[in-house]
Amino acid sequence: MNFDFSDEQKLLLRVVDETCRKIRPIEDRFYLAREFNDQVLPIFKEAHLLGLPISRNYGEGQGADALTYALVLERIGQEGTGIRTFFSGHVSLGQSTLQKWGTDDQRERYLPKTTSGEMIMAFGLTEPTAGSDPASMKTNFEERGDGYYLNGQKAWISNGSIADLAIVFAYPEGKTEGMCAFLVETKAEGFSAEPIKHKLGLPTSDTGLLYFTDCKVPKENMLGPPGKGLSVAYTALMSGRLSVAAGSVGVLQDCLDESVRYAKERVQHKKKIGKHQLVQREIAKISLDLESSRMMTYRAATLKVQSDQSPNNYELRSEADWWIAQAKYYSANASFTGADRALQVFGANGFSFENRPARHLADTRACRIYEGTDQILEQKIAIKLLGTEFEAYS
Amino acid sequence: MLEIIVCFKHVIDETELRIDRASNKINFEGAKTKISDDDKNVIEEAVRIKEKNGGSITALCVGAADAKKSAKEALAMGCDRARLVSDPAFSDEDAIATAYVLSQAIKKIGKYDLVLTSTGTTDSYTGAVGPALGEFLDLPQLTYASKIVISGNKLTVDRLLEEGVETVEAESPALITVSREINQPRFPTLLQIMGAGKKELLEWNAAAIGVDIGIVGKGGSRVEVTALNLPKSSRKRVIYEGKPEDSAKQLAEALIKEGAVK
Repeated sequence: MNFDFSDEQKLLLRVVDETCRKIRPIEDRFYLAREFNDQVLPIFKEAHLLGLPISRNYGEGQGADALTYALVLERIGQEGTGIRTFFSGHVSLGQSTLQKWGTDDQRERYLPKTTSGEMIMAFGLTEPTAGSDPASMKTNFEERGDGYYLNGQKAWISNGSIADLAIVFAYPEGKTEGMCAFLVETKAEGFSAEPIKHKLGLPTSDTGLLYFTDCKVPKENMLGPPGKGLSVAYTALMSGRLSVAAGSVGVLQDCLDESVRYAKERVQHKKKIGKHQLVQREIAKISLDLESSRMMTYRAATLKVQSDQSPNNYELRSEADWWIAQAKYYSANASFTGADRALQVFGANGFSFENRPARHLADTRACRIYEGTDQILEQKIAIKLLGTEFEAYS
Repeated sequence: MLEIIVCFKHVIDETELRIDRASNKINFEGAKTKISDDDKNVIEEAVRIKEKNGGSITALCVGAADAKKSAKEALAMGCDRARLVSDPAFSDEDAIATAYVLSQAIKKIGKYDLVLTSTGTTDSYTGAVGPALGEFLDLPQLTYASKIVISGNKLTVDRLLEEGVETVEAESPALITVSREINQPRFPTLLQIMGAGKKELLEWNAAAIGVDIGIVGKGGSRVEVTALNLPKSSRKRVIYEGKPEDSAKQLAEALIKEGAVK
């Protein structure tokens, strides 16, 4: 596979780089105050980056392919997993899923507003008692008159308490099959949300709890065919996982940049610590993890581009899905370890959130859980090789 | 049709520079390059003028072949074509020699109503290229523009001065140096970025624009940069001890005496 980037991709990355430099001092302030960064939206809106992989037919959609979008998320990931998580929720899980499964009417009603940032999206699958086992979720709906009425709760939803539009999954009342997906406007009666507090990391990103109490969803807002909710969810997770992989590559790049910079400045034992071979080893290992993660992620993204171009090729989609799972698993773990190594290079100074490695260490822990835990992905990777008859939960 | 020429410079990103405190030198190694920040305001203003009045924009840059990526960015921002002038003969030249090279390129471009430059670039900030270019082209020059209004061939420009704003008028063709306060440059969309690759980008060397080699480059320059050092700043390290209210008063008095606060 050829990973020589086009002039257009390079120029786009210059624009993204400029935007990221703008957000950095702002994110610094919000991180130390442990507050939601409300400037991410206006700053990235100005750079036309809120609907990058969405078709140009819809508002500010830019029509970027999955690889170009992954490159952009890699750069954004350098600024912190909190900022990248906003994109995962709003674009990868939200808009991309709406574009793939939505009717013409649904796309035309919502995508112009989501690509412009007028509406923020979230993806509501996880529940307090249903994480890795989404099929055990309890949120349900009842069809009454002119709409569907949702009852239940969703937890750990990125952008959950700031979203205007959420993709929500529910079973028909009294059933545990026939899952459906819905487009829920959060201004609807019966919807409420609150941010989750006391998180280990991601303080600048919103993570919400969503409550549905006879929340009415109009008939025209079912997303995808009735009973196909799990298929909607699984395709969304492909985009979501790729976004985590790409963002994690960015984190590793930042850990490497920070470690090299610090090792060239910090003096101990009358010499710069970069001259100490044990510090060199940490830097070398971050670099190895960075390039390995990057190659896996680019390969996964390239397969997704091919799969998107041939939507009926099941084999290609399965191959892309597998590579995305591997890239997400590997990069998420490598970024967590890389952050720990960078922190070690910084010594005691690394133990403060004033320096970036500590933030990456706290934030990337989430990457080993959301969009598929390490354990779920390990199984997924192995089952592809062993065969589906070895699935633990079938 | 209004023909606009925008001059921009491809510079080292000043935020990428590393300072060696021991030698007081600037380390340029590995630094990225970009369009000079203030030149982005100039490009933006040209695009706004075009959006309001119609016309076409030629982006012009004197710089190394590496400047091609900046030229593409100017095209993505809305310029219609770009001209990149580079030649080993131009290396280490001063502002006046650069202005001469630009003037020769503009003569080759031919027709123009407006020539726009920034008031200075983020690297050397001599502030001399714009006015010198105006002289080489024998154009009326309106400097430090914070507002430009065009009505037919009449130009009305607000000049942002230290103590106020002066409004001046001139007829086109003219040269305007644009201040950074005039606008907020836009980010191009991906579609505009894709479109930039299809726009005309010509590269010219010294011979192509008929430059007199004797008056360009280091040899042809009248100003030579002999050293580049950081300003030395030393801290006074004064500590006012005693009760907080007394030491605060002493600190305030000292700051007023130093002129740090009024």
